[in-house]
Amino acid sequence: MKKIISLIFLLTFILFFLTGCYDAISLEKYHYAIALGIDTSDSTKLKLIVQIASSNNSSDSSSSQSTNTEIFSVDCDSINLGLNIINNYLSKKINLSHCSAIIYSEEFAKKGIKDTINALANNPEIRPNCHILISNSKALDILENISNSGEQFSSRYYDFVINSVESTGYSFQSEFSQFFYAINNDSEIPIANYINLNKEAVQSVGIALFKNAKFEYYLDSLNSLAHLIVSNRLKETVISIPNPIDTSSNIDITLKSGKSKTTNKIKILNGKPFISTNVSLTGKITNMPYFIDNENLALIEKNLNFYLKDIIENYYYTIIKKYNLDLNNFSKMLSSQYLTTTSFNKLNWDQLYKDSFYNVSVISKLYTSLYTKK
Amino acid sequence: MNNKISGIEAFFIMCMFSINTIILNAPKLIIENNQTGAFINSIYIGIIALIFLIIMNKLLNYFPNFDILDIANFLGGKIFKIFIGFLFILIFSIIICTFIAQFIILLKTVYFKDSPILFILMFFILCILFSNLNGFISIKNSICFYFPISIITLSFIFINNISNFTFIKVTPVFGQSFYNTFIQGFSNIFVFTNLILILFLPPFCNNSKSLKKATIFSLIFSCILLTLTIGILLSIYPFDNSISNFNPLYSLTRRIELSQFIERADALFVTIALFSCFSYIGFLAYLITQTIKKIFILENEKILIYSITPYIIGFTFLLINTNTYNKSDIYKNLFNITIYIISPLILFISALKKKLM
Amino acid sequence: MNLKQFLIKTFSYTKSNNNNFFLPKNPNNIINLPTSTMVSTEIKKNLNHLKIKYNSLINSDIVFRNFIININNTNLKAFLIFIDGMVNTESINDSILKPLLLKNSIQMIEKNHSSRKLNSFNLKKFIYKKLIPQNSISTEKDFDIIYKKINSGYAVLFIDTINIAFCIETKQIKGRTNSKPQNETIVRGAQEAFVENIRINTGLIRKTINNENLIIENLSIGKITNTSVAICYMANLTNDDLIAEVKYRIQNLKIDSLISSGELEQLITDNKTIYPEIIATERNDRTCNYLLAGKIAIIVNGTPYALIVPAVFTDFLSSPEDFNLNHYYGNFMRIIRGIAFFFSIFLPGFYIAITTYHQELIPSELLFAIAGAREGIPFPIIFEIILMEISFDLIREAGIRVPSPFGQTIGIIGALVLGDAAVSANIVSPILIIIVAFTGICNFAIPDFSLSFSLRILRFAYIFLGYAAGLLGIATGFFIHFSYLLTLTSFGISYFTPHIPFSVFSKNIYYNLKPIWKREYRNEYLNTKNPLSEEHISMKWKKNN
Repeated sequence: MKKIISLIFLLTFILFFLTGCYDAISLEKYHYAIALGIDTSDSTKLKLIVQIASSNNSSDSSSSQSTNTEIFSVDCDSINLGLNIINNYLSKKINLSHCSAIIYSEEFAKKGIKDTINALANNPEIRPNCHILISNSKALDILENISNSGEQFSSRYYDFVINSVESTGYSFQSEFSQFFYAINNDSEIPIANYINLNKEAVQSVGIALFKNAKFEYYLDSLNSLAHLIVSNRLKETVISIPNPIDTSSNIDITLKSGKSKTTNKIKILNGKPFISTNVSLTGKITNMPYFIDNENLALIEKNLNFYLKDIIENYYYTIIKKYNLDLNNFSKMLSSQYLTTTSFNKLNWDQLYKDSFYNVSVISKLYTSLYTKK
Repeated sequence: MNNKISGIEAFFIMCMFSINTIILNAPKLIIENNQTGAFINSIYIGIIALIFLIIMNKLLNYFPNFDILDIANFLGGKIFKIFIGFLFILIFSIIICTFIAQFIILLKTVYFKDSPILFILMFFILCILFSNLNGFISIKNSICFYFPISIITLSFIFINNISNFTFIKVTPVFGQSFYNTFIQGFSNIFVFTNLILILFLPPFCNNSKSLKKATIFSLIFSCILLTLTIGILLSIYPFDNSISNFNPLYSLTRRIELSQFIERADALFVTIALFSCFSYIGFLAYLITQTIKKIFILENEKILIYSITPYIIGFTFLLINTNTYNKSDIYKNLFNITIYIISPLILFISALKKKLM
Repeated sequence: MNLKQFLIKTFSYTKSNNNNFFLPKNPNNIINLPTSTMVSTEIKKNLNHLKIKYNSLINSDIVFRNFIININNTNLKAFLIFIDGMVNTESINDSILKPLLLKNSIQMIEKNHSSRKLNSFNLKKFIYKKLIPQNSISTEKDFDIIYKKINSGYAVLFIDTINIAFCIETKQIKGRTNSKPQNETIVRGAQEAFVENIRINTGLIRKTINNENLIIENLSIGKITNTSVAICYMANLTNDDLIAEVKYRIQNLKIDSLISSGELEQLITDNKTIYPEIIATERNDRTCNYLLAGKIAIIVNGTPYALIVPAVFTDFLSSPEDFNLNHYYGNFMRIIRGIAFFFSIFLPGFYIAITTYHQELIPSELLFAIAGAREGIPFPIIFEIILMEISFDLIREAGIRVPSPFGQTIGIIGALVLGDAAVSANIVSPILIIIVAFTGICNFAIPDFSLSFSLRILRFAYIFLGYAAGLLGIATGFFIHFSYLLTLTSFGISYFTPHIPFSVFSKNIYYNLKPIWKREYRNEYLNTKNPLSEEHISMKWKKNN
């Protein structure tokens, strides 16, 4: 009798386990989205575009890696509704856990993107390091032309963002989680990549700035470079300065951040904020095939320092006086000198920021390259 | 069966309590109350808890190898012992059930979107059941095994996120105002739930001196861990009242990126968090059975686990369906009153009674 | 109090007096050994001396042959001592006993000898030169040398009124012709294994250990078969209560027959579980290592496997070669085996959990490749895995029983069936073949046969759990599994000693080996009579220079 009871118990136990596997969906039963695009639409609030990796069957080709993509677009009122509609006419469910980029068109971003970002953040599938891109043209054009970037595998289509940040310094590596926190926080400015379509090839051209969750301004390449230098994120860049020795030619210099990092200090002087920035960089001359002696090297360094100081001061003028955006979080730096937030709030930083004045000093050190000896 | 534990095992058990509260929601509750002042606040409550612990240790010297139920028996007889026993059973069951409820909701939101809650709950219940049926030695040894693993994974999570660390975000150091940090923040001491253990562990330890040393070291350790976690969380996430992050430590694990091929490894960290969770709730269920055994003077407490598990299932469902697992206000005051007011009172009066006798 | 004492006081693991190991520490157990070291003229004293020394009442293979020699019309008592299994019995019969016993009376006086020679007669010389026709004899007076001779296979003759002993060489250590170990092969080490005959096995052990404190007790089990079982231990090392417990368990078995050591292993374990709790080895050097560490070896007549008790978990993951080699090589191989253990039990479960529940863990390129490969496969992933695992086990079983002409064919058919054909026919995906094959290789890398068998069974449980609830199911399974393992004991010692609970100050030998000159102590959990196995500085030649 005891055996029969224990057997019945065991059976119900096992059946309970096997009936609970609602979530056991094998990985080939999903369509994996590589990128999402959001455009304006005539009839509804937005137009959702999904780029899906299509896999090759192993019997056709030698490798089963995904080299093609398919694009689906739908007009809808919100992102979740749009995904629902797309799931309606696909054979498999869409999975966003390998989505590497979210592309907004400039038109749509000017209207405000807070709702879409919040909807995406609540989806547990989205990766926190997904890129946010704002494009000059329509998102649909970008998604259709991304395969011309020379990359064979679809999972690496959007790696050009990382590459451009690391080698050119004209852009900034945006992350979804940072963007989400910044857009919901009044004291931080959300920033994203600004891309455009140039003769069927996608390139990254600057940084997009948001104010009140709407796309307002963008920083061009020199200003983006200055932003990276000031916020200590520069990896490598190439600039061209006029040659002080031979005024008809230019010198190309590859710049990297130096030993001591960029330091920013802020304090209140005569009721106005005073920002001082000290930059230290190292560089290599890359187009002079003859030997440069110390005096001339010092001249070139001086020229470089002036050039960079000019760029950074221009950048400060743009963000402080023209755009009035606290990109480098100077308010947080200033509040560290106060003990409580209530005492800091008495300052009224929002009004003070416009009147800030600044001082920039640049120190650079140049090294020799491969062929600069006689 | 021999149920004695040594000093270092008591240290591991008490630290396991603090790790589990940190994994789940303790930093988030403190930061929501005090924002940037949470860093100083955690040091402040650590010092207060330490002073309290030293006083309790001195009072417990009068009753070697007695736990709180024996002291209550000495003070007020059987009825008082029963009352105190049921109070602590209520506290233990609230701790277990809120812990399980929050974990279940996390798992259901991220991984098991379609599964019923009972299905996920069954795994936790099975672990409680089997670890208790295997006896005290297996519970104690499994805590000693999983504790170093949890510490290593926590430090791994912190080290990986160190590139996003900016100390400026922790400032202004004293938070909104001094009143908010120190006076209103005083009630945050409910976070140190491992102080319950000094009331229950004495009969298990053969050497009371080593137990006292273990309690002091474990409190220092948990204070350091809490401060470190709060510091790191504050410096990475801007805590604003408009967003409420469900579990900040889990969000940290989502951001770990190793050389571009391990990108969202949060499932692995959740697995390791599950190990420490299972050993923690198994031990708490064991304490419940011990308390019942002492109240009703039973001989063998192993079989009681069969009747406690349906109770835990029911209580967890109650908390989930009424959506109260997230509200700390309900049990905050209960913990503070029981641990910091009632138990020292009992000890103090019993010590006086013993002196006068 | 200095810093070290403070740390020891605060963090040390104090052994509890009343823990699971119910064999308490040994009191000083001193046996009153005879103090004289020279042979005496009284034969009774010599006989008693040897009987006490060799524990002849319990030692079963020490033979004392008493007889009477008639020399010069006087009957002199004599006895012969030798170890059964190590001597050539034919040569003892022909060269010692026959000449001494079959002649009715040995006339020492030959004709034509003058009376002067009679008076200066020397009995010792006579026996040495005339009576015993064996090729190699020596005479000894010192008992220490006599012990060494007996332990090496000599037969020693004692005669009344003579204060010397005759050591006669009769060595014959029998060995099997193909005595290589079949299942425990190592690269560098002795290639000698046990055989079915119990006396040969005990002779091998005696030959290696070469010490008089080795005790080999004989017991018999089974009403019908009366199988003889030998319990081997070192009397000056092993814990007395452990010996008593082993003998108690073996002597209290009421069964009809006992054919193999596998049956005995199942009858005397503590817990009836899937995990092995007793080591079974067929190597002589491994057995002797364990005996010198303080463990007990049980040999059953008819099986070439010796059982070693007690056993802990890390013993099953260590190979006999670890102690032979440099500790760097040994530690490296132990790490590899640990990895093999982990993969052998968890890899299929992790694969199925990650592909059904946690797809975000896989890197994007690999994910698209797997999804593309699985496009045309009609079966769900759980069915595929079960099918492949069962096929793998079938091929393994078939490989054991296949007659040798077909041995090669089975390997080829197995590879073809499992590999190419199944993939081309869209029954399984290629990555699954890799996973199953890798798991099988890891299973073969585990040295102990019983442990690898238990892992083959437990793997299926993890596959089902992984399918049911992903990593939550696997975590639950591992937690319950591990908490069950912590309750196992092997003759009173917890299964994970000394790693759980871990203590920095204990003197146990852990999984990662120290260099040989640092292994000064025997394992603490065995509570041996002599915990020190090496001096603090064992390489005196280095210190002297």
